[in-house]
Amino acid sequence: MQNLIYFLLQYGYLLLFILLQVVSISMMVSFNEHQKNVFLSSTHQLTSWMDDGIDRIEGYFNLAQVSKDLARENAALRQQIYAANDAELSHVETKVDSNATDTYQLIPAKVVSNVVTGLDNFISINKGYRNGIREGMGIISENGIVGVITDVSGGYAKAISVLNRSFRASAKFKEKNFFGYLEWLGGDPQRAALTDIPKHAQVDVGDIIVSSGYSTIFPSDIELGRVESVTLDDGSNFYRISVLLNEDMASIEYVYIVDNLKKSEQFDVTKPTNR
Amino acid sequence: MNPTLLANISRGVFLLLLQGLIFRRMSLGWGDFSFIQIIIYPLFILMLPIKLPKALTILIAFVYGFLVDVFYHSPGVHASATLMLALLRPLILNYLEPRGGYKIAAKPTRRDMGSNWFYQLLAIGLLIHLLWYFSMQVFILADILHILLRVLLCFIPSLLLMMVYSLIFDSKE
Repeated sequence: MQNLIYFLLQYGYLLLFILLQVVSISMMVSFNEHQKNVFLSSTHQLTSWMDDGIDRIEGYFNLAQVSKDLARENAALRQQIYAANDAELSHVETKVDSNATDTYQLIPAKVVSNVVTGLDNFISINKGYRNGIREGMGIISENGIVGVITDVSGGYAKAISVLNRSFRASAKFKEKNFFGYLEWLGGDPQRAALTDIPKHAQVDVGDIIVSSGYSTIFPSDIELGRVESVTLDDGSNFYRISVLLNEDMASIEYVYIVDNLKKSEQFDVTKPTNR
Repeated sequence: MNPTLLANISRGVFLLLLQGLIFRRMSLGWGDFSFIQIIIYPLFILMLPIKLPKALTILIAFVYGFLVDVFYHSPGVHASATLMLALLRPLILNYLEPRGGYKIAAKPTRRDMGSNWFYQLLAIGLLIHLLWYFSMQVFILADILHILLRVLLCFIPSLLLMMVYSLIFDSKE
């Protein structure tokens, strides 16, 4: 105790100096526009840079799985090419097809940060404004939809992920034409809910759910998952459907950003006409 | 009232008003790039009594720097610099200590300690203050050349004005 008092008498001024210096600098950073900007941009740079570094290391451990996924996707793409080649034989189909592929442009990107444990999760990707990423674009992967871009900086972008309570995507059954919304209610990152399916629809466990294409964000017919359980509450007109997602959001690494080239056109048409 | 206390308070108020109301508006430069500023208020910190406890010096320096910041609308920037000056002032005084130590009643003024001693105190103190002040103002340490240029261009006129101030007012104390 005596030592402590002695120490404070001897070096108390240093502690006081450090304390007041911290107060000054925090005032500086919070009240002066210039210092605030320098502080924020350098910390953001630092965290993005660290995320990037950690991810690069992590990337090595997943190489086997990634190459397997890439090979599978390559195969799928090849199949499409063959299908398109086949279609060239009949001119009508080619016309329809080329029209469809021109609508969307895909920009590949890598996930640099991803959280699945919260109630409202976000992911960040390593492509940004300079790569043509804009707010509101959708993100997909080979296994389904991943999220929607909300913030864009020069080289990075942030998105709300499917595992976010404010995320909603229009979805439908692959075989039947009923459509509803895919939402995530928290908890298990592998399971989401499909809402707004009326009770006169015939729903079976194992039915495949795909994106509807009614929104301007995602293309249609991306396979999202399968119906895992169906319940109908007493007095309710809508099913309660649990969907097992194809996408494992916890291990996602490579994604594609969907740029809808006809977004404004599609948007204008769906806008109500008021005269 | 204790004459030393009175002298310090009146010096503090006078320098604060001089700096905040007059020298703040005086800046020379090209276009809106004003390089030459005049900063004389560190004189107050430097001329506090030699034997003043370190912690008290630091506290006074913080409050004084904050008051200057009020005039400059830049919370924390001047306060940070005066703090640094107050921390290092004992080292400058040690370095400049005459053979045989300071006399008990010695004040850090031109009249008590001589012009040579006093101007050295001003020059070293002002340099420390400006280096820290402009580092905080620019806030990007990578721009070190920019910081040094500003320090140099501010140092010369400020030091000259501090000398003039001491020639005019020191004789009255």
